[in-house]
Amino acid sequence: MRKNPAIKLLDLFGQSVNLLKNNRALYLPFVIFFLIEFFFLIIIFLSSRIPLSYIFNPIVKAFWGEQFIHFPLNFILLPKIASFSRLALSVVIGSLLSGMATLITANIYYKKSVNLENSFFKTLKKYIALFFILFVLNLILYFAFKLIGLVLFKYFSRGSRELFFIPLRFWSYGPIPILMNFSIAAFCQAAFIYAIPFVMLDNVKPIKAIIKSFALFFRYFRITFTLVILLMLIYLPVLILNMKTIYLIENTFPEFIMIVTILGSILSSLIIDPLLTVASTLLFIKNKETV
Amino acid sequence: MPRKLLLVFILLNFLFVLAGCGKDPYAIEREFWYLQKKAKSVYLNPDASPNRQVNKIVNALNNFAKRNPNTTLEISAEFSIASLYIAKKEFSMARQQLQNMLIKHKDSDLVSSEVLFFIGNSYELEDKWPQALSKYKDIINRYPTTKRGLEVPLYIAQYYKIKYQPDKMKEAFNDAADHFIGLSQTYRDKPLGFTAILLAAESKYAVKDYQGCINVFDSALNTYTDKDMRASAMMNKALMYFNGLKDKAKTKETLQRLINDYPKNKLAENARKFLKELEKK
Repeated sequence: MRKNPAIKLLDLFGQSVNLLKNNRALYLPFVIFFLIEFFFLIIIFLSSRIPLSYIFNPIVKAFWGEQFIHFPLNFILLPKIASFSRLALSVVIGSLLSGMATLITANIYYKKSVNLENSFFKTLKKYIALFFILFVLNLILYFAFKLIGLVLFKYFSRGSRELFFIPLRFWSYGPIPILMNFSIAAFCQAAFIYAIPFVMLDNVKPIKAIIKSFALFFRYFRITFTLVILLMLIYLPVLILNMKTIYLIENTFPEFIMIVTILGSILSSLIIDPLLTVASTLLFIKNKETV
Repeated sequence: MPRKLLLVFILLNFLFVLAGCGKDPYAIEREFWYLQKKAKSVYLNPDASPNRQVNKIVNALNNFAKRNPNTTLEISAEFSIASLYIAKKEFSMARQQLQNMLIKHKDSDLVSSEVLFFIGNSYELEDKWPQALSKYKDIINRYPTTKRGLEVPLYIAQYYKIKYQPDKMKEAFNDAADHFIGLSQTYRDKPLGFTAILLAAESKYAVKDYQGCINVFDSALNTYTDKDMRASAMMNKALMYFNGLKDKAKTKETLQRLINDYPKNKLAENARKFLKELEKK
């Protein structure tokens, strides 16, 4: 695996795609997650309109200000609220569905029968552990982004105009912050990727699962990191478009932001997450077989 | 079971989307934004925009205004129509639209002052300054307490400044100062009166009448009892001594008075820093 990761990676992708293509049951948890996320996106989209505005307008006013309840400025806030919603959903519901998908992948790999109801109840028993893992991952991501912002703010508020010969404006806006956030997200995601398989397939406790996931990640660093980076790259155009909301509103139409957000949800829930979950589970199983 | 769930899900989404189809304030804002976007394409390229296109947008804006009476967007739509005519250099049509607005919104000083200013602007764009000036003076006389009414006296003086007419500029600034002093006396010990004091000082400062400025602030200190206003008058007076008359001693004296009289005022902190800087020099 270490000797020729590129070939193995391609094999892994091929196997994951085949598994997903030939087993509709495996795809179901991701479709369910997408539908729930889509439902929440619709609520966010309509939150400025009656009757939802009675509930949401006071919240938006309190946190972001009056202007964001009006058209078209509410669309500037939409990707941010959508990402919060995704974060919460991934911890509360995504954890359960990821666990379920991991279990189904293993069952298919070992040629066992796949029973959705059984898989659901088996996963439900480990819900707290799965919840904990995704909660910790998102917490680390949140504080990592905050910390970087804070460090840069402290550095530049001392009067410096550049860092590593790169001017301030490139650090505050543009490709550098996107790349930094992207790399951090990819690294954390990769480090945590085996935690759910450890909980679901090896019955390991959550903290131990996280530690073991880190160890496995470093052992298969190149292939794991490449896998995560390659899949996350699919999402990069959405990330860039989300940073250009004002430009998009002015040059297309405000509702275009909603289209981009839905596209992001399709990419992440129906393409990236399924491939990442199945590929990482396969890698985990193969590692176990090697050992 | 999954099919039933999916059906419920689709139904829920449909209900939400249906709820979003109603005519609520948000829908009105959205409609207006798209109309404005169309109007913007004319403002950006008025010569290339055919009259038919302009008329279509004007009709749409008129319809919008009729459907949404007594809203701020109704007024914005009416102003947009006038702007479209001005962009197409159809000044008489623009003024006709504005005159109609003047009749329609005669009860609102705020809207009327803005409409009159717009009419004045249309004359200015046509190079008809006397007519424009008469409209601006109308604003000063009829709506002196509106935002526009407070801005116009200085706007007239700035016009002469831009046109390199120093005598008329000086006269306009002096007229503005007199107008604001009069206003400050009418609204004695009220926030509007104090705003007029500051504007009178600004007018005097523009013609380098620094002593006149200090007299204005002194009159404010004799009239106003509000702590914040008095502290502000003292700070402005100190700045006038420093920037205008270059009198360091009087600057220090005024700052010290501010610190002694209102030690807890937020301007006292600035005064302390300023005083410290002056001591260093």
